[in-house]
Amino acid sequence: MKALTRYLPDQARQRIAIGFITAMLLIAVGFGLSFYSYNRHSEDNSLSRRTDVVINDLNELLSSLKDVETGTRGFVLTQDSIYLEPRHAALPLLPKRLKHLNELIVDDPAQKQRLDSLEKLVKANIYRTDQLIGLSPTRGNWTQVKSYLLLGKMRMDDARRLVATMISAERALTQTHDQQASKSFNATIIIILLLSVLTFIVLIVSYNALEGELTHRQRVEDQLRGYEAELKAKIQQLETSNEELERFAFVASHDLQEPLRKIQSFGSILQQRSQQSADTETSEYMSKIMQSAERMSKMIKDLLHFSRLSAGLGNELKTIRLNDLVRRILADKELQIKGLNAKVDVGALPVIKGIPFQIEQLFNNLIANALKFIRPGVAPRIQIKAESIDGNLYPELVSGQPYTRIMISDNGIGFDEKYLTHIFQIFQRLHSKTTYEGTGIGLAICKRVIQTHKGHITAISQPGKGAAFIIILPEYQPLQAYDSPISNEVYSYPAS
Amino acid sequence: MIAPFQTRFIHILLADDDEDDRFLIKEAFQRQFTNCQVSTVDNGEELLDFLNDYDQEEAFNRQLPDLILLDLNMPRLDGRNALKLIKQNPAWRHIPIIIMTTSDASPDIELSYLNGANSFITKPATFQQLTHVASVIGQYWFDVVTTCNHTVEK
Repeated sequence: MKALTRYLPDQARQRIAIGFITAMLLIAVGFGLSFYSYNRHSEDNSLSRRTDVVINDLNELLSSLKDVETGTRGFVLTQDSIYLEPRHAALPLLPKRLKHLNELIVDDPAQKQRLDSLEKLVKANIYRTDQLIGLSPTRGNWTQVKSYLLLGKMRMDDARRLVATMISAERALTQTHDQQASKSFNATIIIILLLSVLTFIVLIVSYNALEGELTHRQRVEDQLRGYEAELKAKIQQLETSNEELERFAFVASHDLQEPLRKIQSFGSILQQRSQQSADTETSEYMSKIMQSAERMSKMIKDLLHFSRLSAGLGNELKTIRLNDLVRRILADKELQIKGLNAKVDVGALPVIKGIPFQIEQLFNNLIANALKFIRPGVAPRIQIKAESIDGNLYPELVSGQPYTRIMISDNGIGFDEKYLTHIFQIFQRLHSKTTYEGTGIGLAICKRVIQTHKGHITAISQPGKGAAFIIILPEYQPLQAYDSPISNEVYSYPAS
Repeated sequence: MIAPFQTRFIHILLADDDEDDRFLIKEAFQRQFTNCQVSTVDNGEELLDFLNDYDQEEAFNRQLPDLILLDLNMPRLDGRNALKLIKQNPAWRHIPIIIMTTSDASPDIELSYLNGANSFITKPATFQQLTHVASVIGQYWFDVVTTCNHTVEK
């Protein structure tokens, strides 16, 4: 399901992209076709213009030919050179017209052939008229003149026929051309129309896909927002119940003290009496009652202390010099350390941000434990050292964040690591009350302190081979963990 | 001139809503000192009434208490307000007041001293400790410290 929702948007994106690319391609093809059609149209236009020019040239050629013919006839009949004037004007025009026509119809073989015949005809006719001018009917060669004139008429008829054929051929060519052009123009228009319709359809489909995708995303976003609100409500609920629980622990332990104090008070009166009456059995029982009451009182006080740790009193983050703090704790325990002949090595410890009384509690408890769980006959040795590590070393930490790892190791009795989670729980002990005193609150407090500081606590140990407690604290405390801003004030300890 | 503690009669007024505590504290003082009278009241209102009624009380020797032991948490009028009222009254404010309560919360301690309490004692757990406290209080306030002597003339 998760894979599907992750896959869907990609697919939709691809669909939409394909839709728009197709539309753009269709538009490009339409544009190309329009351009092609326009080019064809102008080509057709130039073709029909050529036809016009060819027809015009042919008519002019014919008219010049007529001028030559009629001029020659007039001169022959009258021997008056005035009739030769049109002939002289027309003669140089003929080769020019022929040359021009040749250029125009060079790529049309049928017309070219006809033009060649026409050219021969024209040349032959010019030659004939030259001959004719040299003759004169008055000089007695009338029959020859007559035959030349007849030949001229026939040739003129041939030329007229040829020109007419050429003109009609040229017209026919233009007509078929026009027909083809209009046909292809129509086809182009239809294709462009079809392309436009197709583009339109593709665009509509793409738009639909896009809209569908947007609606889908909106729905997903709304859903996420819903989850977010739900999550916030859950967090609120959790915080409230957590607060209530802490308050409950505080009130319960506070109110439990009251009846217990009565038990102890009246018990002590009875104990005194039983001691005075020399009733040893009653006295013994009374002392057991008193011891239990004493122990319960201690546990209640510890519980109160534990719940106060997170009650939010004095939770201001301050800069703490750990070396100063440890030095002070060791100074407080100087008598005990001397009495045990213990040796304590303290390495260079960092300066951290933390809640001073909590951090002090943490180190005090761990050092006290190291001095408590000692092997008889072995001088205690305690080592405290620190190093910087990355969060990815422990799954409980945030990977990529810098942390400080502080190790407090001893050469005491140690413990079996299968009790590792057990020892950090409140009122959980590994040894009998008579061997080592205490209620089992120390490490639970340590864990609580570490949790408040977003760190991690663990230990490595083997029975009889000492224990090393490892506390890991973030180098920077995240601000949002506390309502109060980090104070820059350095929490210092009086030198002792 | 005040007579030494052991030779004069001492009157202590105890305000506590807890019957057992009243018994234990009274017992502790009376075991320690034979010349000691401990009167008890249940709450702040009764305490003020007791002080007010002193003039009309025929049975006593017309003397205000030499010392008031005051619990903080009491019904109707609690020790915090009773303390304020007594210390505001010119006729009573010379009387030493010792707060004896189960609370050890710092706001309670601070406020008590601020309002004129002379001592603040968290109730001890055992009777032995309580008798010890009683003996220390008696010796301190009636042998060591010089207090005002406000004996009312008959």
